[in-house]
Amino acid sequence: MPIRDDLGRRLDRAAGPSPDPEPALASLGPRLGPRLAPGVPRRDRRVAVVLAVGLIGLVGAWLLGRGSSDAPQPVTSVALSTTTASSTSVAPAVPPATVPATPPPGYVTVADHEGNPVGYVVANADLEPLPTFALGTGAPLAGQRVVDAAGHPNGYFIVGLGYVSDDQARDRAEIDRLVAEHEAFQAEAEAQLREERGGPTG
Amino acid sequence: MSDHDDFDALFRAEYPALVRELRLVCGGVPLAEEVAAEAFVACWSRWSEVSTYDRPGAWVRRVALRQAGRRRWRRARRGDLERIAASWASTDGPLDLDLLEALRDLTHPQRVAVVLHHLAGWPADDIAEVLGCAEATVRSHLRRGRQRLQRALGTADDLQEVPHAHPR
Repeated sequence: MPIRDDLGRRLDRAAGPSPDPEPALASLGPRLGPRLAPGVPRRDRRVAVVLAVGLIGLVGAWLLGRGSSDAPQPVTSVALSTTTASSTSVAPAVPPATVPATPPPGYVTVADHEGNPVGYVVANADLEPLPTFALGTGAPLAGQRVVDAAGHPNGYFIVGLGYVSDDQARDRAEIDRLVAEHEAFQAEAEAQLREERGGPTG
Repeated sequence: MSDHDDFDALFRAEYPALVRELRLVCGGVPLAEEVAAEAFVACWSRWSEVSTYDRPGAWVRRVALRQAGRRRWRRARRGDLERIAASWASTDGPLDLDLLEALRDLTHPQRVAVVLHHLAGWPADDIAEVLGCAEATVRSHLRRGRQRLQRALGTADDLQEVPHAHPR
């Protein structure tokens, strides 16, 4: 606890009460992305998921096949699971009734960090191979509006690692500002890391 | 403990103090909370490296406070300032709008130096790391910041160096 002089005491009063970290931590969740294996490149994580699913499938197939040589081998289902895991990189989830998981032609589905669809965005070259774009996977769509099945904006925008609602971003200029701030923040963090690598840690 | 648990523990330990400091450095609750959140998002995305530091919380602070310097302190009028501060002010005393106005008129390095030294109890060498300058420069920021606050607030105290224990 610092020893406070008069100025310190005035600053302490002016700074107000300490905020409760729990709601802030909970609201930060979607922006942290899928909290799996932090620091591991996403591509590696996908490979790990594919290998794990494939291994489980092969063991299952071997166990089933051991009982009867005539039993069907579940190779197809293994291949399907592998494709799903590698292409979406989000846990399968039951989509809410209001947002069908299947996107309209020319769109990809935007899912939250738990895999629940929240809307759609126009497909582009970065995303075309993906049936689902999970929030938290990067920002190739930064600034894009999220739309409903009829193509109407549903009040969300892609910003950085997450999305913001209409309440926070009322117009394009505000979105651009948020995107620029996010990118500046990332650059700042990278610069900070470079500094840390150049000197003592901590 | 898992990485998640370690990160959550860091968040719970550092977030409240960081937001309080940013309220005074940025001049607004939403902005302070947004800057703090961005800093922790950046921290998590680099957790495999940041978690190896002796003081990962200091890394988050440096990122947040430097980023705060890139955003202009709200050029708010007194009425706006009252509305902003009312959203975080405690109920056990009146708003210190004079102090908030005086802080607003400091330069960013002066404000960071004053807030970290007098509110958080940081020594000059730690503040120098945050600001990316020499310790002597921090002492200059502190001295000038206190002088400007003294002139604005009409107080004669606060000009003396106060001893501080190393905070963390």
